[in-house]
Amino acid sequence: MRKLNIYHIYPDLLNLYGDRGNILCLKQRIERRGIETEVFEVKMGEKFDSDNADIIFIGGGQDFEQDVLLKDLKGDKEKALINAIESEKVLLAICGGYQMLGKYYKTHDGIQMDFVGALDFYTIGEKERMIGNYAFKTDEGTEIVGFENHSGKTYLGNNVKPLGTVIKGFGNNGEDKTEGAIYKNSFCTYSHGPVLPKNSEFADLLIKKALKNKYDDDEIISINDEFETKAHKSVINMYINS
Amino acid sequence: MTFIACLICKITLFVLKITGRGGTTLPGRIALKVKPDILKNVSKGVKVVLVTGTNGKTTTCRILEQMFKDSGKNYFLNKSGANLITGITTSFIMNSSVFGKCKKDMAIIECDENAFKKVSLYLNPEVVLVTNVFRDQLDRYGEVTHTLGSIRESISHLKSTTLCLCTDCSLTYSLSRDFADNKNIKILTYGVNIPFDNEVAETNVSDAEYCIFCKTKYEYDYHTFGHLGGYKCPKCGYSRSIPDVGVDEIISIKADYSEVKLNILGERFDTKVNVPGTYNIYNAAGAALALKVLGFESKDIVKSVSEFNCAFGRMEKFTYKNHNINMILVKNPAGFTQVTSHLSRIRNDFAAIFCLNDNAADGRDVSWIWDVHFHNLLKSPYLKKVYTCGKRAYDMALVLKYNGYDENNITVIENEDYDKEIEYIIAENKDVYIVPTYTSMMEQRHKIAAKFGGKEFWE
Repeated sequence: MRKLNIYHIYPDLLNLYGDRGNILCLKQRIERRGIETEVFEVKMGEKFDSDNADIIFIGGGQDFEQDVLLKDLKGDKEKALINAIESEKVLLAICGGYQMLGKYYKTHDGIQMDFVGALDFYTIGEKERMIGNYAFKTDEGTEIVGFENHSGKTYLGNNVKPLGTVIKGFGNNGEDKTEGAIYKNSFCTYSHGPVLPKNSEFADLLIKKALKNKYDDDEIISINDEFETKAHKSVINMYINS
Repeated sequence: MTFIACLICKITLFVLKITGRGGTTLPGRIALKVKPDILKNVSKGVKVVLVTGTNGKTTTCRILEQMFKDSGKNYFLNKSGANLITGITTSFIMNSSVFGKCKKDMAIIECDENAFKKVSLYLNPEVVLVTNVFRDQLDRYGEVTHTLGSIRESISHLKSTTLCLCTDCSLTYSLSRDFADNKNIKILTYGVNIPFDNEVAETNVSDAEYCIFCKTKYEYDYHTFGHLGGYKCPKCGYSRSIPDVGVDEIISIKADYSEVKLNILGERFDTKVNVPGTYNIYNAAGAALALKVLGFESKDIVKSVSEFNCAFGRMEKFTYKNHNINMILVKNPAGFTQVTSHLSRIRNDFAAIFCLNDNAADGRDVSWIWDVHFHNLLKSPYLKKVYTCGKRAYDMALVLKYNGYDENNITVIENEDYDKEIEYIIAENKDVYIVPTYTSMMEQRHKIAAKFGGKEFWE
């Protein structure tokens, strides 16, 4: 029987805006396909055994807790994370977790904090928050809806691609129409909501990539997605096409 | 100017009343336009106790009111829907002469955490009670530390006051350090000295795991609810204090009330907290402390707390045939978890209808429902059927589905069709709990009340 290990990084710190719903979603969607799954939590001060991970998840957090986290990341954990990303493990990072993987974050008054630097982008803090329902489309044509709420503006470098193009809303910076980032099998987005339950196609994409990595067999049966599809459509109707 | 402001406010109130619209925001807004510091004039000579914080404001105010009523005080209380500066101003003017002289000796003011910043510029309460700081509609206020910052700034505006703080909330109690050196601010605390023996304590989402002063992870002796409990920072030593009014023991928790041993300044009283929901034990302790500060006798306080008669949260009860139709308002993850915990203890068959809207007053971002603890409710054998309704009915359905509830047992009511909802309620032929967010409650209340009658508890 196939089995996928989900690693939730900093469930104790990066737990804002219901992002743990993504873990519930992945777990159930994997199990409904008759595939086994186990969720491992990597909290502050705990070791991250990235070799054992098939899907890695990092959520968003409060600014207040950011430096606690950066201190804990330095060293082994950071290495394990970079190693996982480079070896094409599937990773999903949201908002604060997304920013953390970039090179640095500069506050609006010019104080720079160095981040993990696993991905080629940086973030500049702004006073005004970018808040609201929004939608974007991936190159493959998958439409993703969510709720963004960030004061950082992220600018992508040449070594990453945007996850999608903004249909409505701000996205990475409200300027260049890009949203999120992709590098190898790492997917980053500002989308809360949480993002996966309402965008089941995206959720299944992550599951398939993880299966492909581990078993070279990404067959999954289709499951009932009535609520998922209708939740997605209702956001499109109320906020994107209006 | 005071006269003109009051007059216009009163005329507006009158016009709204005769046109059948009611409303507490507009009259105050107009008065504030005419005289921005009108609140200062109309609150002159009034002894004010102000309650703020994320959860429990309304219930705490109602307990205070019970005591004021029992002791025959000449007071008024603003309605819970009128807790911004506009509503508070309206409430004062309603209770004043047209010349701006308040006719009441005392006022109980429920105040929104962010509105407190402005209110505190003009109103100087004798007692300020801060219940707790939890995550609440984050898209509106930012992060929890931001909410706390608002309260801190507000208190710094006050000339003198007595602060009643929940010491079990590491965020709230941090205010005691901020004002420790301020001779004009007296600080007293309340709390629960023992863990709550229920599932509410076990939640994987905490709003404050790291020390607010030095960012080290707190160590807990025990948890009561969410991040509340016996915390201590191993590094800087910041910790919960021994409260002035504390709950020493929980004797029993019943469906409609709980019994506790309440320690009021060292004296212990067996106290019946006449509201269901363990969380309300906090509200009772907080109210008891504020009342003690206001000079009431402990034994009278205990009596009022036990006689205080209102339902859980903002709950309304209706009936259909011999079934209860209950409506319980939910506003944030902590409050919603309290409701699911309450429902999970019900021991007769029932159906639940969760109604989720995303208007400004509900919170535009609906992701907060994913921080609610549903597990115990959804595995209850007495929960026979679930409906979802409201603008974001499908989001609600997804939360339940991914928390493990059988999707075939969930019916989504589309298009905010509350008439359809009523049809389902009738067809259920059992007790029904309607759990709406604020604007959904406002949209369906009158329909439910018209159909099922019954007594409205609060408002």
